[in-house]
Amino acid sequence: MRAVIEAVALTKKFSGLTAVSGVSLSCQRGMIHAVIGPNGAGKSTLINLLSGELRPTEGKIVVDGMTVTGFGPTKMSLLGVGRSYQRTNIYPSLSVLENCNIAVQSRLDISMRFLGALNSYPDVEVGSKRVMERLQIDTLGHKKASELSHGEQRQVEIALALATEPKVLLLDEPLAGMGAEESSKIVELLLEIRSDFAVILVEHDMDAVFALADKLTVMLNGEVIESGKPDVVRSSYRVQEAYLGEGIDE
Amino acid sequence: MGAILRKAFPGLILLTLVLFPLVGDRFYIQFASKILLMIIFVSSLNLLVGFTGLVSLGHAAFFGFSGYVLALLSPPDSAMNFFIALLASILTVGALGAIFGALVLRTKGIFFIMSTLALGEMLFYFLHDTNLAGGSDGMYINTRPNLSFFDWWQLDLANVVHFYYLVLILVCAVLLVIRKIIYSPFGRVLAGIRINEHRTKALGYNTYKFKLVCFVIASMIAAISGFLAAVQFGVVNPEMVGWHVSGHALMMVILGGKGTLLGPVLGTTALMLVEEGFQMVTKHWQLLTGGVIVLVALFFPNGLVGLKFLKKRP
Repeated sequence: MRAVIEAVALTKKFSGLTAVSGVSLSCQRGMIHAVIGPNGAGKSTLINLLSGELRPTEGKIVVDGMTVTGFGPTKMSLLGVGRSYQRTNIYPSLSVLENCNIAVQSRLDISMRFLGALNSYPDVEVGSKRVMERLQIDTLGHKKASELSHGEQRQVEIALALATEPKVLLLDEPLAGMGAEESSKIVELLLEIRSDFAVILVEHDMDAVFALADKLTVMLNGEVIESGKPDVVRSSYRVQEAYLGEGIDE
Repeated sequence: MGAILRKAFPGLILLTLVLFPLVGDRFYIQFASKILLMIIFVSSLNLLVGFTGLVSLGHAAFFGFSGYVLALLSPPDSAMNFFIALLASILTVGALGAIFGALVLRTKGIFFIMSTLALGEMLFYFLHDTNLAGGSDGMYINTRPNLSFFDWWQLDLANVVHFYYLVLILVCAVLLVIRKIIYSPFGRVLAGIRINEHRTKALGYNTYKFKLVCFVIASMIAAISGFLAAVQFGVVNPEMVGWHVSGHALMMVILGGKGTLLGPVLGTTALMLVEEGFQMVTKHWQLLTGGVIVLVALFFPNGLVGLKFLKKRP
């Protein structure tokens, strides 16, 4: 099966510091590829490269067989690469429903219409309701996002990514700051919807990673030190050394 | 009771405005027209500042230039057709808005403010220092445009009552259009840009394009207002495009409450009434006006809309 998204020898240098160095990985539909490593390993930079928010210094990115290196976040989103952020990045002063509406509307080709009210386009609300139900936040529709609990805001964060109906889902620490119960809810959700997406998951919660991942890539100081099936990686001497040597921060 | 009042409030205001020329004297009708046409301008600026989060200090460029288009089109001793002249002004200013917008929207934050200010001042000095449009004296519009519907009904724009009703109709039309825009799919994207442009980009919106379209719409609405101002006074001068006019309008947006439909209406009316009132009492009126603005800023940080029951932000 062909990879939906593929990174080839990606490198990102920030004036002297090499944050990501020659990283290659790929992901197919229905697969969850987890990227782990200690803080500062370059995981978030990798996500930012794949989502178009940073431009790689070297290497290339291929989505659906098309080279898309250097494309910005807007184009990447339209090509079907959706993402969530490590630090919640939603519309705090809007309601949950309005948050989702903006995301759903981005796929409907109605956004340049000035005169009909938004609610005269029922597809928008139908799409929002569907994604809110998936994340079990449908009862919160009319609550202002800034008034939600942290865990609920994290769910809205993921809802925005899902609402753009992506082929590739880049999840940057989706469980960050969530309680155990909320975390297991998200893990369940990801298991449920995994068949529809190629998921690249950056996460510190190892229980979640081993419950979800089909493939694991371990990064350290910007480089890939191990990549493969979870149990192979788990028994890898280099990985154990990296984690025990550097210490796991979370 | 409150709910009924809230519902009836816009209707009551409108009724008062419709009946006003029957009782008001000539000076006050003229002054009311001035406020109404200013509301159009301030509302157009609010579309940028309040609804999209783009603080412009050069919006008067579109207001003043629209008047210049009318002055330049008007033959020296006969009347221009009102609709053709208005359409020409709106389209010309829209083109200018597209050029200005394409440039300034490449910047953000404080740099956006500075570049709008710079372009506005460039236009000011262009009109002031060249003789293409009367230089620093500006231009007169000797004969006001002719507004008739197929010769069976004609408005006399030199008649203050006729002019007042024309402006009133246009204010209502503009406010309705802006209301439509902010609740439309396009308007929701503008809200997204105002609140979190980063995420809006990541959701697949080309935010530059949306901001540019909004900028052009705002400039075209400002053109309606500048056109009316030129018709009312029969004269245009470079001051109309200067930053003073932009700054004054920005003050009205903030005083009234940015990002609300009603804010510009309240802000414009309040500031112009206060200024006029103080001018009658003292020549130090600006000092007093400043005091009022400080008080409003202190007690109603969200503007005058915070003062009353009508408060809605989409």
